[in-house]
Amino acid sequence: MVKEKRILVTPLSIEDVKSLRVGDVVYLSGLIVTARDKAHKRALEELAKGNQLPVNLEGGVVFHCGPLMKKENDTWKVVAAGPTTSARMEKFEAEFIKKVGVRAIIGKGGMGKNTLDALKEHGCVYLAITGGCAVSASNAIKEVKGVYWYELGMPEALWLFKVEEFGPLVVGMDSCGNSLYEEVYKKAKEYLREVVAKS
Amino acid sequence: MGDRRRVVFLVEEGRVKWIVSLLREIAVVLPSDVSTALEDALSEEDSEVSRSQISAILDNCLLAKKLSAPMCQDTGIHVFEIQAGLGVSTNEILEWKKAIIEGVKLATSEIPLRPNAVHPLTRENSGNNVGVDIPYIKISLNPEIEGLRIIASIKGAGSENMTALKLFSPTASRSEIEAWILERVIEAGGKPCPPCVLGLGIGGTSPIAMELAEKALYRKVGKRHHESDIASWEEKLIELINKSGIGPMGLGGKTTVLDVHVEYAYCHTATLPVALRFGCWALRRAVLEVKEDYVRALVGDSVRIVGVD
Repeated sequence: MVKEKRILVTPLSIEDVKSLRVGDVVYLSGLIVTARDKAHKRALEELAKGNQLPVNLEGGVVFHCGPLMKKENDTWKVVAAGPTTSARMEKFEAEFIKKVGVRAIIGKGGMGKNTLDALKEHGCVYLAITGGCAVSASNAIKEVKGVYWYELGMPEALWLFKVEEFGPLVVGMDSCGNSLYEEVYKKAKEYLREVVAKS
Repeated sequence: MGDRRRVVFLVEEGRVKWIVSLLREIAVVLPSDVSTALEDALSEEDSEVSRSQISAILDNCLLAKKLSAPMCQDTGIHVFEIQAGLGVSTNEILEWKKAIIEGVKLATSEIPLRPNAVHPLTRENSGNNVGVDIPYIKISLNPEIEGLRIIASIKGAGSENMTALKLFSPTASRSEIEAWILERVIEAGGKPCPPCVLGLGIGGTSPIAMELAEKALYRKVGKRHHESDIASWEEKLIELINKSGIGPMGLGGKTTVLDVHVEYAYCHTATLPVALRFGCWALRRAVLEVKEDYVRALVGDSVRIVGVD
């Protein structure tokens, strides 16, 4: 039997977020905005200066992605837009979640303790999209709604995308303090200890 | 005179076009050894999460091929090896070297590929994937082939950043090396985009070990080392690592590695360098075979793109 797709729609409510648990497989429709290292840094700097961000991210979704874009007749087209390694954003993410009010982060590889605590405190969730699956991801992007901070470089800019059934997304870290990565990691470390003890 | 200049132009353009084709092939099409290994892995996995990841990878690759689009947005930086058979002129090798650089530039705008090459300190992006010593082009001799083989690979940063080197005590046991590899894989978790192929280089000096680990990634997935002792160690490592449960994308599952390839060289009696390189599931490499003199081969079918062996 094929399980029915569970589709989340942006802007996400706190209830949407709270209903998700690690290991759930979902899809997302609505608006998402890309942000990598430089965009996170810049966003926090702008907010510290009292400036507004160019896009409102309340209830929004951030995608850790440096897309490959092509301009055709003055219109931006997505060539490839898969996720980048989320761990690099760890040093910014807790503050970013707190100050920006995003409800979901999409990325790959998972994030650390600070982010996990911030997810719980502020009602946000980490969704894992399969690393490298840039064509499927860009196929789900139906429209490029805008680009901001392009001067940071194509991969580092903020790209605002309209998506339909973006996914599959695995809830990797939920708003109740659970991390699938942490569970997998703990079991693997236990296994490593056994292997070392036997050798 | 005019005609002669035109011929020279065509030859040069032809080489560049072949390089662009080679780059398109590796960016777009997942090599069949890797896709077969992924299909086998899918039939092994039994959880919704791990199956969703491998299915997503296979669906993505089908779509990439259909749309002729790069399978991953991280189209890497470009590493080439020109292997020259006997009788290939130095001039011919250098012409291909030039063509590779022009081909990378053209492929970057045409396919397109993401401009990834930056200055290591200023981080300034050249915009065309060409910079100091990038694309990296290694030239070697291979007396067993006719003509030239140009091996191209692209590797994303997620897996590259997991690379590890350890100078073991020369008295270290195999099980100590195994435990270290296992620890590196567990610490890497989902970051190198598993299921991975691991390249392990043992012996030599530090740079030699690293080069062996790189060479190991070029070996066909599923092919064992020609020495039975190393071959069975590879099998043991695969089993050992897959029992860690890290799984596809580090979300848990049975397949953390699709394969482990070991290459070794003799080393100093007082050393034991071990290098570990991770290849993400998108293990992109292919070979351009140029069977005979390129100028004569231009219109024939003696130039073709094949998989690694």
